[in-house]
Amino acid sequence: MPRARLWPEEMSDVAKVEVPYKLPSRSFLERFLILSGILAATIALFAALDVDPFVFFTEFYHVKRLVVDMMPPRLELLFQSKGLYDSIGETISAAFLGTVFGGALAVGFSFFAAQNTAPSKWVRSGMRTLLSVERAIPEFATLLIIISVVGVGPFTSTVALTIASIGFCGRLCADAIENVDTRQVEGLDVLGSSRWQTIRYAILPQVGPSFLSALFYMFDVNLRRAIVLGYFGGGGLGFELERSKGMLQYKDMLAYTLCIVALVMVMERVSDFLRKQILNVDTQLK
Amino acid sequence: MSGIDGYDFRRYRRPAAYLTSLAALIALAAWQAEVDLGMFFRNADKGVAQLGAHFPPDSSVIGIMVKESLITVAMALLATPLGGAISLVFGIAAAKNISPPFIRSIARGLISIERALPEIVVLLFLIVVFGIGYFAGIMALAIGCVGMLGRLLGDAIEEIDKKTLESVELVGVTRSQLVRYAVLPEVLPAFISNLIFRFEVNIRASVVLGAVGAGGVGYELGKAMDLSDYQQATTAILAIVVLVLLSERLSDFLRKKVNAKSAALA
Repeated sequence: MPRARLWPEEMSDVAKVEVPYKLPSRSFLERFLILSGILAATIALFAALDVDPFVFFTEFYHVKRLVVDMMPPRLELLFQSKGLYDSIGETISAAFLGTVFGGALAVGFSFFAAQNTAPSKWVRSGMRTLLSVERAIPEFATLLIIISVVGVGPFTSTVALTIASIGFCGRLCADAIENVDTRQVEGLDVLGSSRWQTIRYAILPQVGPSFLSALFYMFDVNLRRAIVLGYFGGGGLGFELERSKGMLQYKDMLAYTLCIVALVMVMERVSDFLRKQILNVDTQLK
Repeated sequence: MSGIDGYDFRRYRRPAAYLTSLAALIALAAWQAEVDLGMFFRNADKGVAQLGAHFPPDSSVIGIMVKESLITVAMALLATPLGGAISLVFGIAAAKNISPPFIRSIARGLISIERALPEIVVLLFLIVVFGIGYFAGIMALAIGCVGMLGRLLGDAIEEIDKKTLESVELVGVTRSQLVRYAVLPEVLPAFISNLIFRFEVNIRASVVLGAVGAGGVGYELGKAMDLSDYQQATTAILAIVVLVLLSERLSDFLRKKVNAKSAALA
């Protein structure tokens, strides 16, 4: 065992105590048991799913073939087709509108879901439940239902994202409202303000920045979701990606993928920059 | 432009500028996204009819949906540790205090590219390679972990106190021993907590991936919608809602336990 070796030579007489070297330490046993449990569970799960994880190695030549097939990406799309910029615009627009309208609805709902502004305990827990159930419904299911109303296209994504934003953003906003400084609320209550006045003068000024941050975060999430929804018929880059995959145009597929990566990265920077600008100006005014 | 009693309307200039530019952006986006509220309300009755077709949920497929939900859970259970292992490698390579600058910048670049890629795109490429099935789904979920977990881990390692690392280095350890005895003990509790959160994310993600062809309850939902079995689709949606809410509760509970334990150790 390592510890015995670290002892100085002259102490070796003292160290000649009967140490049960053969027994592994307790922590080693624990670790061994945990690791073997994880290993057994992994094997059992792979067996239950009837998946052979080694196809990754045995079928690896497919990866090589795909790489050969999709290189180089058809970046000519950037210069030739007007369609590419349209679909980028559609994706951004759907995400933006979904965030604005969904966010507006969410802000409205959040006051009923926050403990300190809801009219009653029951309204609050009912609204919280509704918001979390809404959050759990997959966006593409909403999208597939809305397709029957407005057909395939970016408008469908817009509506689906509006609905999908309510649960997510509503919870963030409600949490922000619950975290406000209660002294300001109490101060206004003492003056005999109505519920609306309390919200207007004590709560809104405090939660403004958090709402704004929630909306900018929501936009980042919605941009990714808009791409996913596009795949299911919501227009934009996701739709183009689905089409190019369906037509086995792997060079196009890679080009669209690069577009998606660039778009998400750039929009992340832009929204970060705008958020900082707006929040900075606000704090300067105070 | 001052009004009654020196009341200054200029105080509204900034909000007015914000609102105007917001309105202009909304108009531009609405034009680009082909928003047509008239059509939306004209066709609203179709939507109501569609919703009506979804009810009542088909109770005869509850068994199938439960089974498929378990498959989704199994996929997330396999993908999360696998993704955690990959993220561990990337996270260590992405920390500037223990990895060389060249490797660090490559790892950081790959991590941010992955973070910008929706899982569904990764899955599409994997489907091209490995075909439709659970394996492609598990791989896509595992790769999807790297962007979030790798970055969080890299940042956490970079925040480790320099003294901790130096005191271990002074003993004369190799780089792998440094990672094992100085880095991992510091970052592991937070990493495990993130991993549990990622499990919850993976459950949600695997529903969407399922609809694209990775299997599980998402696949059943997509299939039911394609075949216009709307009542079955409602059952699938209900199963998904229950699954997601349960996984949320479970991950909250487990993360609280892990945090409490690491707080007790510290």
